[in-house]
Amino acid sequence: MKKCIESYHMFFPDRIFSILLYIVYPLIVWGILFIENIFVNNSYIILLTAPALVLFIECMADLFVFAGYAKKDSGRNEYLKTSVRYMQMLKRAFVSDIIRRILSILFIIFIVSSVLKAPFNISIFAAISVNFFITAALCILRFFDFFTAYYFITSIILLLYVVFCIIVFIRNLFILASIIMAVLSIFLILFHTSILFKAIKEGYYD
Amino acid sequence: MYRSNVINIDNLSKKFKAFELNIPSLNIPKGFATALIGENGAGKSTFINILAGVRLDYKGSIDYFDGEKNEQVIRENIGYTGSGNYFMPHWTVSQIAGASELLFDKFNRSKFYQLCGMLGIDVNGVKKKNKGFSKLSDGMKMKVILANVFARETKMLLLDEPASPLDPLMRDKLCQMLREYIEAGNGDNSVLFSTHNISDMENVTDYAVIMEKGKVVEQGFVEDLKEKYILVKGDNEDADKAKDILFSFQKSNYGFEGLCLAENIDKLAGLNVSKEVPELSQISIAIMKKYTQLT
Amino acid sequence: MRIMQNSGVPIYQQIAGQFKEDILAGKFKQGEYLPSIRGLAKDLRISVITTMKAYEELEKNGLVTAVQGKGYYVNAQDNEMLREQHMRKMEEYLLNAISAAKIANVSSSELIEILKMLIETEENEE
Repeated sequence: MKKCIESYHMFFPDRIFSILLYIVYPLIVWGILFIENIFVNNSYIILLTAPALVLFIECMADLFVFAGYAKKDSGRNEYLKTSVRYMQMLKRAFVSDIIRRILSILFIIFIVSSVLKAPFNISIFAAISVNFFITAALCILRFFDFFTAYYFITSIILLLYVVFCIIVFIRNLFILASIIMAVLSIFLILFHTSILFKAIKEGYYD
Repeated sequence: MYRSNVINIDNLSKKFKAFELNIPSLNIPKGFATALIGENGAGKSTFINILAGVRLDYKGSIDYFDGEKNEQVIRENIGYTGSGNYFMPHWTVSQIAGASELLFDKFNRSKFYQLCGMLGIDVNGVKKKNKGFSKLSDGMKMKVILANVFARETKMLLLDEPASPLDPLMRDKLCQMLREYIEAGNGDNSVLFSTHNISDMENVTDYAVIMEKGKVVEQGFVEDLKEKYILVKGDNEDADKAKDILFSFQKSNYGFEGLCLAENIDKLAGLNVSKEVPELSQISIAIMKKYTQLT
Repeated sequence: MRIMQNSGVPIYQQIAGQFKEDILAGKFKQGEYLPSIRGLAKDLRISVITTMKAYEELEKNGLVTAVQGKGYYVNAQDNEMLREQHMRKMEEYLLNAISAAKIANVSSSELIEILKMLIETEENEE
């Protein structure tokens, strides 16, 4: 557990980033929703703004952690490559990242939904669907390592997510969508991790 | 004197588009410092990267530490330094220490900080300002890399151009650190370092491997090489006769000089020449000139 | 020990020469080990192979013996060789005395008298 967290933090740019990710990020989301609450009187819209904000922040934050890691790059981190524990360290960091994200999402959304007294099925849907979309976005994002790519891809995914939420909302498919997305998320995470590991392994070959 | 090897290489090859590394057989002696000498692009870095496990796309076999098969044991006992993308760019000194603790069993954090202090690396300053590795100067980078590798307990060091970014004082210190490392191992610690400027490292080199165009063109213990090649100087009257006999030849208005293979030295009888024991750098340059593509 | 980088004499020969002197002068006792090859290289700031070659040279001259894994120990020195060494030194000093005597206008018989006297006082002191 301790080693997982330590491994994960090796990929963080600095201490300030940790503070932003663990403390400032949820506060920003809640803050924006609080302001939104003053102007908008529809709790459904507010509830679905939360995952949209989470998606945007999570995707952009990844630019500072694992950007470019799906891309084959043989000239990276020579020191790490001389240890047989490099793969283990990466595995721990990736797993920590996935768990940290799920916990962040659950924490942020459930605080919001309990404040808004939102129905349980919609809260669950919000959490599961945003995790799925973020994972899907990261599958693409991590092939790039520069800001503009991250910004554009994140924006497109965000748009798709909003459209998707509206469809689910209109058709009232919260439970069905949640189940499908939960299953798909697991496959997507496995698929994504295997791509990342393949890229890292290929880094040893030219 | 009984001598054994720390690394045995058999039929090692790696093809690139315009260049091929090809080493049919090479042994790195155990308990000594071996210099890998060659011009830029001779294949030194590729070779060291392969030995260090940074690059696995090669053909052939490499045997480490008398047939050790456990990859974990091999990598734990090898310390590698390179230039370029060595640490993650944002890592501070304390993060480097943390990473090393995760990556290797025998990393000593207090020894690392002590070495940093000795080499003039401002550990606390780096921490406070949060200055990442990529923001350091080339010389500082190499010092941090060296401090990190010497803070581990290893049996073999693979150093790719360790002296290049260092100032003369620091190069001298590096040589002494290498001698101390070899002494501490009492015959078990070996060093392989590459350099294109051997004169700085001459006094710490026991065995020399000279590479050109991906091939090993000469190798041997320095004292043996100094007997194999003899430095010859003479007047210009004898230049033409000497030219055919000498291994390398250089002429100026004031006379000629060159290296002569010891086996051919008798052929110079009758010529008015003086003989000296050459420096390793003189031998290296003569051999490199012989095989280089530069004109 | 002094090593000269540019004296024209190979470094290993300089080291071997100085150890030879020290051994013959009795600074190293019989059976005593010479400094370790790698330790000496570190202290003299030279390469290991150079000190190794110096020791091999001493071994060739029969002054030391190599023991696998332990180093080089000093052999029992041949008495005849030691005697010869000291004889040569003695002659050298006596020649110095003779030339000094000449400069000081001391006759040969006087010189021999002085020598006898010195030997006597030395023996009495002991």
